[in-house]
Amino acid sequence: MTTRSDAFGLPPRRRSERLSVAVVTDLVELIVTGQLAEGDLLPPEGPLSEHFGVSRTVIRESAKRLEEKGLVIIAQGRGTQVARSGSWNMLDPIVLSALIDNDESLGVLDELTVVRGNLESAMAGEVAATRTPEGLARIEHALGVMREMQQESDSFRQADVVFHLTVMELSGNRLAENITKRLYRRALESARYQGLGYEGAFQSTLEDHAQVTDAIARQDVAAAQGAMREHIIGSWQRRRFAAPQDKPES
Amino acid sequence: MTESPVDARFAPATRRRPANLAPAITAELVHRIVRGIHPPGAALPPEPALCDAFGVSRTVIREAVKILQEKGLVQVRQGAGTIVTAPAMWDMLDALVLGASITGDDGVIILDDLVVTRRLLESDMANVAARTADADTVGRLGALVDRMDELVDDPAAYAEQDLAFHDTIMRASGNRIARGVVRSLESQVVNTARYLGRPEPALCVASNRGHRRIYERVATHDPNGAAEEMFRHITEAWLARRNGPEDATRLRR
Repeated sequence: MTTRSDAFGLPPRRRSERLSVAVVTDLVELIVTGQLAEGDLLPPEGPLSEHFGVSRTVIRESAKRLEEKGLVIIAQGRGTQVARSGSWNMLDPIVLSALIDNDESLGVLDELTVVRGNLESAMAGEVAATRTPEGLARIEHALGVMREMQQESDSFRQADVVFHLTVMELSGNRLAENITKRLYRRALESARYQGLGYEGAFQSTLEDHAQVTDAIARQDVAAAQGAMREHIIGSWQRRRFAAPQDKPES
Repeated sequence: MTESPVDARFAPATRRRPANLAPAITAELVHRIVRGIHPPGAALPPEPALCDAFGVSRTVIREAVKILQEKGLVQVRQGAGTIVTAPAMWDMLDALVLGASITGDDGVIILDDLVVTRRLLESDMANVAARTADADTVGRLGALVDRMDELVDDPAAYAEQDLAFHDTIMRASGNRIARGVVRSLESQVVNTARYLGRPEPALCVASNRGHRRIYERVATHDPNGAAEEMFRHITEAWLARRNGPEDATRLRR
């Protein structure tokens, strides 16, 4: 059987694959929000396949995927048990999405911001210590693009992201870069992470980034670390809570 | 529905399910890509060549390539074939990719990065734990440190309590994301000889001194002290077992 591409120009996915993704997503949500608590046994295959309207094969595939994500333990004869949260793969796209989508009740975005703050500040420090002229030029260019885009929200936000990704890439710590990119990218898709706009938000972001850039140019490791951490944590706190009440000075 | 051993021995090749072969081939291809045998920008050999080389069907090769795509190692481009991507695109957190990176010549650098990352997150968590730890948590940490003193001659048992000690602090910090990240990293390297080093009682003794200092900072609710001691402990413990030709410059900051 040849795999001819379908309307999307991609080989069509097996039907059970698509169904499995839907079942897995649902179960991940139930586990992550605690509706299926740690230590609980999942319902047996029969009732589960009835509930989701899929075959037992799909249920079994789904259970294996959950196990790969560290969410359940499948024990022969004992059933499928929800695993302790310590084993959950927080960086798995589906797990992370479920956590972020339920931020209102779970508060993960605060934690995510702390992790970003730690990792990105260290990476900024690393760049300050080891930067090349080409590297600095790339960062200064990214900052320049942000300046140009101040009037267009979407373009500005994109340029903001590019600035952060550039610093991460130049740090040379591929593990930290990888981890942070995943968290950052997924968070950006969440309206709650965008938070409340407030007067002067773009301006203060630009100033923060300029401070980071300056520190990197001067090869001042501590300043680069401090500026990056302050930017990430500070801007989250500002947009997370109500915007400043004062009218801006003209 | 399992086949009896006799059946499996006489099963014709065509009855072997692709699922059993694809993982091994995937692992081999990951290894070849990460080690530069198939360098970034180059195309993998065409499907028929790979089928021949590994002695498997196209279905198996296609499944392996799909997995390589998911790991960010290749891109399938119409007309150009399957192209190896730049290292920046690779999923460094994937067990196979990380494993293959670690066994390379500069594998110690990756481990340095892992230790640096872990150290950052855990020292911050120690800071928070020192602020918020209740009597229960402090008691548990003290008990673990005492227990580890007794286990220095049994590195395997010591290692178990060591994990529990660190996890207690991480849980006390309340940062589920940070804890999840550290545990994910640890689980990827848990069986890596290069990371574990040779278990020695002397290393356990030294490491537990670090644990005790961390415990004392948490018990007296000294957040900065706890962070510093955690930073120091992770650094020293790694340097003691680190075995690499390169200088550990990444660990200096």
